[in-house]
Amino acid sequence: MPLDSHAKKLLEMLNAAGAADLSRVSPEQMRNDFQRFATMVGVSGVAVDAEDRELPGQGGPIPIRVYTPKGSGGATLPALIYFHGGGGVFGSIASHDSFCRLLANAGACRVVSVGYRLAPEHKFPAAVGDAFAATCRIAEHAREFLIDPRRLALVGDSIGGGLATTVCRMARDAGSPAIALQLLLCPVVDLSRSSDTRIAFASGYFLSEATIDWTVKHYCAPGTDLADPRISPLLADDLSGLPPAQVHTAEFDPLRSEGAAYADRLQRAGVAVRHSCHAGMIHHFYAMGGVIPYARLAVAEIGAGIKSALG
Amino acid sequence: MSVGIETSSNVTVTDVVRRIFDARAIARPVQPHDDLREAGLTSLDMVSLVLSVESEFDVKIPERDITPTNFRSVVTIETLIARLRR
Repeated sequence: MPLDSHAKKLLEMLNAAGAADLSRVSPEQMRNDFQRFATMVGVSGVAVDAEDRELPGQGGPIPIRVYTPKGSGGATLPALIYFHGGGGVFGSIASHDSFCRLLANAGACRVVSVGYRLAPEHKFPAAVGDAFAATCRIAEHAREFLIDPRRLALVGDSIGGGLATTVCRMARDAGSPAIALQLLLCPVVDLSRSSDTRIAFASGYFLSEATIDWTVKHYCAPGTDLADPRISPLLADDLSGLPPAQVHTAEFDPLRSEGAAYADRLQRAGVAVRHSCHAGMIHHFYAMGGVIPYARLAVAEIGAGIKSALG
Repeated sequence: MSVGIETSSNVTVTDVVRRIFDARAIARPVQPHDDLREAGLTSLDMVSLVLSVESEFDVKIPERDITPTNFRSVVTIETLIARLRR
């Protein structure tokens, strides 16, 4: 299928600036730019209750935002623990606020968005440590959050998808907490090499190879082994015994091949997997409902998947 | 010279560009013929620029017109809007 016409128009806008010289872009500028971009392309005014809290973490308090669909305040609900994308360098609770609101409504569940520490101030594995600590804390205090601990999902987009599945593996190895679902949206699961789609869509498709290089340089200290399964979960020795997985990839996303390969590997390891490749779509499309109408359909599909898994 | 296209609320292309400069803390004044990329606008700023022009001037910019040439400067954007309004 060709590129979706709205996605294509967005790419034309992004490409109208010509090739960017990312070496001049600071993490601070990228964070600000991405925040403004997220607001521009997201769906605004999604009515959901939201509360900011903090969890104890190794490196200080971890900020979280808890979303609850309107009218279900006092009920015990299934929940998603959400790890945002942004290469571990940018992205935040704020940049994914609109999308988390949409997920809470579409999945009829609470969503706990985790503000894990970012690089370069806090390099890998700080984000992994925060993601695991937040997950354990929320599971242990599920009752306090009015969350049903038997219906807890780990969810993430882009590098957050890599974090979500990494935390699933850590929880499996530790024997707890129990995770009912891993929901991975255009996940980063192999930073050790460039797949065929990373090469085919290296520039001009929103997430460029140059941006990936830039984020890796900030996310990892020099000399870090990018084949570490906490960075590249696709290379983990053993994927058996992981929670059921729902993997969403996008046809024109450089990360499509690694996401598809990861879904395959999970399946071969005996994990129940549902993989949807969204035709005509680009990286991060699901959070671009303000400019790509199909994103709204995708969110409905993602929500139906959450409901079927967490009932 | 800038042809000074305005909206009903008297917003000009220069105003739209200045808003983006402000959001990015770009201190220089907005000159009609300045190359916006040289001024420091990034690809994400371009999205902001195109969407702002569409909403402020109530024009639909077809994909084929979203080019570096048409969005090079305040004047080229004004020329584009004038053509689309014709």
